[in-house]
Amino acid sequence: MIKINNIYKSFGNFKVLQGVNLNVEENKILSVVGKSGTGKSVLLKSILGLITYDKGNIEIDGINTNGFSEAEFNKYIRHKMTLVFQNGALWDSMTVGANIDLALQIQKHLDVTEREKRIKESLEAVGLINIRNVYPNELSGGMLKRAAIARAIAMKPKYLLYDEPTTGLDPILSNIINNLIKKLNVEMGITSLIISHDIKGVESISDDVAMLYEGKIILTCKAKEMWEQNNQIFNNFIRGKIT
Amino acid sequence: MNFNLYIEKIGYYTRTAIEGYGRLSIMLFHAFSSIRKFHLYIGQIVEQFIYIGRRSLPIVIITSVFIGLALGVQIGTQMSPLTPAWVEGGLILRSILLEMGPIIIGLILSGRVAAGIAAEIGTMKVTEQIDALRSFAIDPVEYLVMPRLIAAMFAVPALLVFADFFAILAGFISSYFTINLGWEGFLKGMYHNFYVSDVFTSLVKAFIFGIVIVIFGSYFGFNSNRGANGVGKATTLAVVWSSVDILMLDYVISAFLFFL
Repeated sequence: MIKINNIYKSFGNFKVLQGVNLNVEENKILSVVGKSGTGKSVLLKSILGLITYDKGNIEIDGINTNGFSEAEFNKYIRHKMTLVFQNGALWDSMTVGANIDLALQIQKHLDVTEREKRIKESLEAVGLINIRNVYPNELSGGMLKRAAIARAIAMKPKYLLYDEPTTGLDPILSNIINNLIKKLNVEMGITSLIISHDIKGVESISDDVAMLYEGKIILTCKAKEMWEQNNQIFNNFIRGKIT
Repeated sequence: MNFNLYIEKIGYYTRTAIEGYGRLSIMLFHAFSSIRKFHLYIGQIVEQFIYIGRRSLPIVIITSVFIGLALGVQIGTQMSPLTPAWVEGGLILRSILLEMGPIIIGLILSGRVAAGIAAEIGTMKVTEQIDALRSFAIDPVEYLVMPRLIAAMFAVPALLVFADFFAILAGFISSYFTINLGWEGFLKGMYHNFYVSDVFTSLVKAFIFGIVIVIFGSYFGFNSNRGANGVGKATTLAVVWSSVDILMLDYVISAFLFFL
């Protein structure tokens, strides 16, 4: 379980997170929605230790990561949690297969046979078995995101964080990605935290939804109940109303 | 009023420079302490050795040849008529071994290698590829800097050997056409002025310049930001500051080894 307790983060005078509280239950999918620039990506990166937060604490499976060094994040957190970046962030000097292999080799120290098996399994899971020897710059947007998901699931993570996995994709590709996220949750038991603007997708795959507004979580609810909420800001946001 | 402003600016730039060198030293220490894991990165080390060494060889040979040719002309035409012509061989040898060889290698590789490293790492930084490495518990300094550092520590001295050879050869050709100095005379001059310590000094400089080139390229790459403009700026800073530091260190090493 991920417990985010009263997190604050500022960049200079710009206050991004102002006391965020959020719990991500095991084997569930929680989606965080909110306007652009409200600190959703900062929140994800803070959980994984890529950004240091100013105040508060984050507990992952009971381990408080407040004040953790890079080495401690590597040792206790990053072997069971990975992040799918918004633009994929595949290492562009190597093929998709080599991208998956690198993390397996350096982080997991697996032998060649096991690595080969995992590369094949993860590419099969995302439906891209034929792009193993292709470079990231030769992939379309949707393939890039699926390749990034393949790289992440090859690590067999307990937690998977997605930073806007469907942004910039057409509705069909968005559906493919959303179905994939759901499939990974159901079949592999991966607990997922998703940052998304894709309200339809959020509703279809999430167990819970939270809204980040002006640096705080202003609402958390079940995804299937999201259209029945009384919060005006949330209602306007999911309906796309200009206020 | 203006005077105070200047003092403030000097203070600001001094502090920024000291902080920068401090962070750069920490990165260097980090990279050196990662060398114990070199066995995980053999492929990258070989790849970088080829990039820094083999692919720089043509430009290094071309510049060395022209430096040798120019030295032959300059020394030949400026020597007193009373000085025996064979002395030129020794002068060319020592100029190339002690100064021209390492400096040319250092500056050429600053432009080619430091810039390349800064641009590559800078692009990785602004496209979140560095964060992606960290998210998979891969230490970016260990993965990106250490293999380059090891490769440069071997490749730059190796390049220097080629640079020295071709520069001396070109120096001889130039001397032959300038003051009609033959092989025997040139070799006699080299023989009378050859010191093993000069070779040692030359190799030490190349070794250290290799480290400077990689660490400055990496440092500015890791600190680049704000998209393509930031990467361009990082590349420029890497070339400028690695060149400046190579020239400063050239003096420091020369003076240190002279007094040793």
